[in-house]
Amino acid sequence: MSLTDTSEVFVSVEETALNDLVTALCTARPRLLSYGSPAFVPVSDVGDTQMPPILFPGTGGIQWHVRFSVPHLDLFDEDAPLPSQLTLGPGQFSVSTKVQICVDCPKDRHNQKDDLHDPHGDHGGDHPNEPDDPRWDDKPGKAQNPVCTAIELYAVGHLVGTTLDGQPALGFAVDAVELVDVSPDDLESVLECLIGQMLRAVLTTIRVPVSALRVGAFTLTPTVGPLIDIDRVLARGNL
Amino acid sequence: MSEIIAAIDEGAANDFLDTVVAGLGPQSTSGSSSLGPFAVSYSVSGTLSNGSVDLIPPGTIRIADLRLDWSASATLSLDLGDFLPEIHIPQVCIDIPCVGTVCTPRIDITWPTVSVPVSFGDFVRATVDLGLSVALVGGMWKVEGIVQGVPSLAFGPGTAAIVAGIGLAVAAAVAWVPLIGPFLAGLAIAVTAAIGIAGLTGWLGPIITPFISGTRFPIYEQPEWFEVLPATSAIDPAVSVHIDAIGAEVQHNAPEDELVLSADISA
Repeated sequence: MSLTDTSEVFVSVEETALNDLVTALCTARPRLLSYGSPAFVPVSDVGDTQMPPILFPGTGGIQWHVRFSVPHLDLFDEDAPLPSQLTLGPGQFSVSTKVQICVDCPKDRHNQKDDLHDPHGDHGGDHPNEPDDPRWDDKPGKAQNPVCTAIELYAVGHLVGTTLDGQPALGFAVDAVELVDVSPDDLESVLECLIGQMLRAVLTTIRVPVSALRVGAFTLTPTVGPLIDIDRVLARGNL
Repeated sequence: MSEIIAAIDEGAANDFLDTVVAGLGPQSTSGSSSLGPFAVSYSVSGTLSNGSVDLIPPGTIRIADLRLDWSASATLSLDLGDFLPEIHIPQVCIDIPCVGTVCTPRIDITWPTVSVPVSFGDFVRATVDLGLSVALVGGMWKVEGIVQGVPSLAFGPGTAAIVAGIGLAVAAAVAWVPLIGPFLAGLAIAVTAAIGIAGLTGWLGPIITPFISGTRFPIYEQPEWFEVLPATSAIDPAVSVHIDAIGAEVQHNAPEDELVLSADISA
């Protein structure tokens, strides 16, 4: 069968190239993956997007920061193993990433003198710090006592046609999310709901223009796709 | 296997080359040479129009009936003496009684050399085979169709009329020359015969052939660092990927012949 089939133009992009495009986007604009309140993100810049604190009575606003690592995509069929709870069906992609969540845990109710011997300090919870605890210490901010955790995250989803600056673009929609190594189950469910919403929101900001899928060759007005074939995205259409 | 493939079928290739050829714009040249017996200085310009495209695996794009509309402005330098008879009126003397001998002057007419501006134009058609060239030049990936060999030009039906028109233009341009009146019609015929259709096409061919054979048809041109997204603000800088390799070929993927570009990229 011809590549163009009944159309005039054919474009296909292997998953390696799609990951290169997503990586380039997330590397040039890391703020698409990083969101936080002013104690962590004093101002929106290339690296981070500032968001409001979480309002809660008596706290003055809970300071927080969420950052995803550059997502890795696997197009059907399955090459990257998924948690057993997820299956990758025809037309779907899977995405794996790691999400780091931080909150500021102010120390004003504690004896700060005790903290001098512990570089990580007391998080204010029941769990003392370990030397390799994940911390948000790579960016100057006003967070007094940041407490962080990192969670591995897997999801499956499907492609959506969208636009970017009026031009056709490729978007990503999430169908299901699964966290790794979180227990008990009800906590996992809550976090999957919470982080799943964040991931969906983040992925809506990651759109790849169709012009990039063809690296500027010819022109393409899609009439078929973009859709997922075996380990690649393809589209057909007219000049 | 390449990471990115973009392909067009033959119909799309025809439409694509319509745009490519239209974007080439006019070409021009000037110089001096001989047209038949005349010295001529000229300027010639031409504009290409696409013909019909045939994709031939593994690497040929054939364009049949590629058309070049050309126009020429030329100044012919011609010695009228080469075309007109010499006129010598001998001296005649008459003896007149009571007056003596009276003689008329001897008259020799020397025809001048004149410069005659002429303008004319027509079209030619040619069938060309384009080979595919892929190169990274100065940070730009380029795929071009390059004409293989020297195309044979088919001149349009107006060529004969052009030759006759040049003869008439010459005759009109020298009408001011004293005593030439009776010879103008013959001059036009003589000039036409001296140039001839073969002479005109033989003169034009080497001048306008490079307009076709020297043309590089741009098929793909993108910077090595391909811009995925432009910068939209200070916190949303441009996004680029590196194009590591580009390929181009004509493939037969039944039932179609397709022009296929391939690329490998890295973040």
